[in-house]
Amino acid sequence: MERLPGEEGLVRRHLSGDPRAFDTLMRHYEPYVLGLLWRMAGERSTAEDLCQETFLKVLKGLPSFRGGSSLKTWIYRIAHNVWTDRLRAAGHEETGGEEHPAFRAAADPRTPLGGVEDAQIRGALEAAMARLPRAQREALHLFYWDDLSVEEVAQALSVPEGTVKTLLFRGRRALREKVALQLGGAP
Amino acid sequence: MTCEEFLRILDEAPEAGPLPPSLAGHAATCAACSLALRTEGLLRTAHDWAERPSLPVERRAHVLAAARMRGMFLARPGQVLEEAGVTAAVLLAALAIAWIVFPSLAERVLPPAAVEWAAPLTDPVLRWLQPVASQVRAMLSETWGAPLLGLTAFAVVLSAVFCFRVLSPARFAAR
Repeated sequence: MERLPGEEGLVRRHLSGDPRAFDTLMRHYEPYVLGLLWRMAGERSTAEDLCQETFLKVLKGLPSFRGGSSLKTWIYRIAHNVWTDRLRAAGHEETGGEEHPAFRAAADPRTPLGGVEDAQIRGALEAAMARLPRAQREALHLFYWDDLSVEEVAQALSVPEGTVKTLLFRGRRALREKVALQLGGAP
Repeated sequence: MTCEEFLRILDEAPEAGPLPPSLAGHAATCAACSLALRTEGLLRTAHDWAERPSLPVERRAHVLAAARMRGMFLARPGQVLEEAGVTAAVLLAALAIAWIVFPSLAERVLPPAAVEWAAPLTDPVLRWLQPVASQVRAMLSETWGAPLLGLTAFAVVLSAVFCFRVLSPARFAAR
């Protein structure tokens, strides 16, 4: 994800009472936050609830945001915590998403391997993501889909960088295996 | 290169950046490894082809409305209160001056014919104000009457000004 140019100024303008500043911040980060939460929750309506809650918390927390991390990773951390709190409140570990757009584009498993199109592999990749353990899914999404660095993912998830690298390593391997199984090209 | 070697190199490749070129040769001869390589390549470009959903308008509007309210009530309460306080003080001073000056001024400045002409209009208002005025005079004669009355009037006017400034649609529109 591109960093929003002039975001420090936007934060200052928001804190001095200019609501257009928050509008700009939200429009930039909302698709990424909603994408992540949709990936994690698996249902669009739940993801929208969580996204709305995330930005209300961002709004509440901005006056005390000191810039220890980037605004981007701070917002992701709030989204991560909102999702974790929702899971805790529900009293169960999440299940994989079944409604993410990925599933609508899922590949036909009977397609001959030689003729597999990129769109089919993308569909299978998205479907496989939904079946990964939560931590791997979140780390992979932030790193590959949202283009965060390992350091930024670590900040967003409040884990060491080594943990992120391990999650990415295991997640990549698991994804390749699941895609291969789905498209009939098991290694 | 065997499939095992291929997968080991793929596993050990850094999580981002270009993949080792040596993988392409083997991938050209093995369908399963070719799929693994393409999968890895697509994963590394997911940022470019990912779908970016948007919140429905009403949900965004809910958050932005909260932002407006918070911006005015919490982000700069001092400034809003200060502005409202000055406005309230000016309004109260104008009211006090009008209260003291206007009756005698009206008697001196306005011609008797005009006073007589306006009487049907002003008398109901004066009759309505009479009980209030007598109560105010009674309060002013008490020990702490004047300061208490002043503070009460200031609080009432301040609240009114504060509400008007913060909640008026024109103010929202201006922002």
